[in-house]
Amino acid sequence: MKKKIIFTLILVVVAAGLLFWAGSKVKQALDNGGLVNLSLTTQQDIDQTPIEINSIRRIGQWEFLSIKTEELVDSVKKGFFFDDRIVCIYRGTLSLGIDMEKCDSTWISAQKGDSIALRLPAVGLLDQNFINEAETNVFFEEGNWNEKEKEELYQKARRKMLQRAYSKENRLTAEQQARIQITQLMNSMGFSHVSISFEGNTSGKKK
Amino acid sequence: MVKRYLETDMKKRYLLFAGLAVLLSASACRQETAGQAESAIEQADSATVVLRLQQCSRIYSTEYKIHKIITNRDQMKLEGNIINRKVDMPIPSGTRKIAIPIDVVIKGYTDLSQISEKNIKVEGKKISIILPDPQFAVTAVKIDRKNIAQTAELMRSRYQEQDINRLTRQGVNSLHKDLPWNEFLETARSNAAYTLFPILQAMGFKEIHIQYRDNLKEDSKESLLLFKTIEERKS
Repeated sequence: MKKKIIFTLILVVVAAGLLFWAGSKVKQALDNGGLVNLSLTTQQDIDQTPIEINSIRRIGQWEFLSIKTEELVDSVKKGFFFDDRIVCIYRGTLSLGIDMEKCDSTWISAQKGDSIALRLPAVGLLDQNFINEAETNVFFEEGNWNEKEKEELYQKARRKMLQRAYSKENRLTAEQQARIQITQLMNSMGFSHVSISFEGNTSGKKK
Repeated sequence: MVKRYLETDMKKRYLLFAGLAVLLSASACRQETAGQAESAIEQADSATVVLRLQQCSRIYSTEYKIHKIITNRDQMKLEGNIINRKVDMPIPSGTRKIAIPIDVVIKGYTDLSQISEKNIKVEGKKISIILPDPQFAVTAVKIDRKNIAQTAELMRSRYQEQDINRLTRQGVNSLHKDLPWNEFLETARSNAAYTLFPILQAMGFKEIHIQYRDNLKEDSKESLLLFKTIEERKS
């Protein structure tokens, strides 16, 4: 009888211990986010790939006006039941200035004393590629769009940016800025009489 | 027989109603998304058409054309834990891959608007100029769309334009830490000098010294020291 009681007591103690251990494990699991905590994950980062420097070129471009611009373009494809639609915001920076490779050998003539005359090429767009596609924001995208259609969207944004930013007004602003900056630089170099002229008629010149 | 006929008739009706309901809900969803698109355009209209003009005087002396293929291998996984046991299980047919070739143009320029009389010393036909160190700007990023390659397994959708732009952004950001900027700085410095030399010669200067400094906006003492160094080196 005494043995039975001792055996039962040991059994109760072991059972209580097991219960306590299981309870603490459950509590620990719950504290760590539940008994079952599963989610679907995807790999969002790019892989490490080499960089290829295709060319290093010496250029001589003097920029006087930088125009940061954004352009909203959208496209719709009519479907049998539903239409596909894409809306993107493209960002780019247009540089207006003079390409010094276009200067002839007599573009600067230092005259007697403190006078200098400069004949500069017309102010123009320094880069034909000015959109930074890494900054493009896809606002809305529905349906399937192939790469050719996306390229058309890019070209549409480029045309609109050119139309808006490469205006007669902006070319004149760049020309004025060129006059101010070059005069200041020449003054610093000791030339107090500076004469600047531009080849062609910048204000009427098209790209 | 009649009962059976009625049952099949009812079934047909249910199917018809169910079909109609699906069509209606689909068109409602579509209308909603079309509405979203309209509101997106309206929001974008108010946010965009931004034109920021900045007057400057920069001489771009070096152009670097860089090509990079951005790749992403996107494996869908079931991750987490079951009763403190870590679970990391790839989903079968849940992989998609893409390779995006991009062309980046970086230009090195000298900001001439920082130069003042303090940084130029003229003595007859001799000129010494202290230029600010060249800086760099990403002037264009173009995705080579013709050569994009992508595949998507059964469980995955194809990469959307949004994903392609996000990956392109990551690729361009990674250039900042991978490019040899010190070499770029050296070539930009020497090319700026090559660009300025003929101009200064045409202006009638016979002796030309060009020196670089990190920041010209700081006080002019450093400029004086550099002019002194030029003089000492010459003698």
